[in-house]
Amino acid sequence: MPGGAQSSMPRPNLQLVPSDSDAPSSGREEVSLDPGHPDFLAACFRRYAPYVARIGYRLLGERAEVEDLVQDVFVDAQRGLGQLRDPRAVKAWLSMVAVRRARRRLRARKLARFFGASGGTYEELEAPGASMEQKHLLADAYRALDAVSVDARIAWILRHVEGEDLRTIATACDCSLATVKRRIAAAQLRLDEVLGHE
Amino acid sequence: MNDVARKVAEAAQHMEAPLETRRIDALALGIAERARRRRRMRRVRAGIGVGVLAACVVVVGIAGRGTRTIEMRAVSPEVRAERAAYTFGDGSEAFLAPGGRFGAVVERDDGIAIALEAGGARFAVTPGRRTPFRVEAGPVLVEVMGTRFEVVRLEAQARVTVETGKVRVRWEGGETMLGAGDAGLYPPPPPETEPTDHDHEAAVGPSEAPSASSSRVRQESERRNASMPGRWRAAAREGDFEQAYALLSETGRAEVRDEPGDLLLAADVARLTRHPKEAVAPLRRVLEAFASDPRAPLAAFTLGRVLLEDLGDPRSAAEAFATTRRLDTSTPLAENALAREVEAWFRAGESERARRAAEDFERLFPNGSRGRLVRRYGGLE
Repeated sequence: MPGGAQSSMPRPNLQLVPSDSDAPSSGREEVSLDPGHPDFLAACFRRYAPYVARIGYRLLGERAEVEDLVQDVFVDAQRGLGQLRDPRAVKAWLSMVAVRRARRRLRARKLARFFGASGGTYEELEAPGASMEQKHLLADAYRALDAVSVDARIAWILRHVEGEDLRTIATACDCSLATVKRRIAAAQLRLDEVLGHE
Repeated sequence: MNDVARKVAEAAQHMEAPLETRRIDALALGIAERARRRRRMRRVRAGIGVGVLAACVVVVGIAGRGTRTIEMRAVSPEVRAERAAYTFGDGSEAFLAPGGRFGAVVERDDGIAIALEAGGARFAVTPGRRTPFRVEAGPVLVEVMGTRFEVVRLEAQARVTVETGKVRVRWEGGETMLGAGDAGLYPPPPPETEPTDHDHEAAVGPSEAPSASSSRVRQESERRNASMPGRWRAAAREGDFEQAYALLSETGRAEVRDEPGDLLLAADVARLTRHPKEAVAPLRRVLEAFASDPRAPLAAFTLGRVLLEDLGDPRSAAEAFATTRRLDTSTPLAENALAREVEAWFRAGESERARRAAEDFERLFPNGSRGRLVRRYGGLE
């Protein structure tokens, strides 16, 4: 805890400490704020915007939508700040909000496709460092995931791309463990069908 | 993690969306403006009392032939349809039940689409519509052709009840037709997956072997009043296929009426409780006795999948998929059936038949989403 507790100072504020699974530190100083502090949201944003951007990109598959999604997530965070009791739960809570926002975008995309709007080709997926073969694989995979339910897509990506455990996914998706497993299996079935011969 | 998942996951690790410091600062400044914009839109919607679609352009014009067209573009992900009732241009209506929530309501001259996010809603669709009226409830899509029906969205399924007319219900990997008085829960739950390496975490409860679970269900069902006919049907429509199977086992297959709805349901009960051999007879019965029923193509397709995936009989599966196409030449089911037929012939070692079917696929569905698989199985690559 920062600074220690001096009798003449306010109680020590809670500290945002990166967990082991967080993205590498940006080098910024750790922020010591509690949820009631006026700079708490700004500190959360600087600390977690890259994380939200990453999972948003991987869920949506569209780089162009990521910044909008990040802003939406943190506008929601602003409104929902009062619900947060434990600052150590910020990341998990932001994941839940990001998943919710991504789900809405994905569902709107699906609805638009009902009227013949063309689906994404994903041929321009940005994946620096990926080989050409990997980029083609990703394009095929995202097209396949377009064909499963939005919930199945989200669960599969959180599990296999983000490496989240099932409980975390269940919390983020607001569903039971059994449902998470079922959704992951449904998406995997589709991917195996499309890519299984690779 | 299987090989496909591993490869995709490895490739996806390169999908980063790095935000530079300057960009983060600019986004941070934009948050307040975005929040203000949302508050403004909520006030507009509350004031007018209609579901205004944010970031959407509505153009109303009179076309040369005197036809009034309404065109809506770019449904925003922020759309909230806040009314509880809608009446559309042709008189079709949608009514939200208490506690329900529409995600989006879009009316265009090429159709109506409604997303049901939570709870239930009733729909009255004017008969004789020339364009689709679609309701999307999670993983389920309901398409209607002039009917009254209800959709209730549950966690991972939707319950569809039809009062009059017909609806087609579609989900990933399946579809069915419901007529007046029919009801069902969709998508039907899949069979339990085998435990994987990922399942070492504590689950919600101790896992049981399927046989132990079925045995317990059977014991429970012995205590129930087995003289109540048709209870298996109610259990199946609620998605409790284990119970439905147990009840059918108790009361005998004579409980299954000789009509397509019951036969298909009985096949689902058998299939989804891991008794695929027992699904074959009712499916074949639909094809033999009710080939003109609109559900017959689905019976043929389901039979093909059971034969191919569960019973290891690809030759018979290919014939079933071919039957699907004879009965239904125009819907997406026909495309899927032909693609699966190619695969089935391939797996049966009939490379020449696979090739011919693949060539048919290329000719009939040149933009088909399964073209790549078809070309591979059909030896066209």
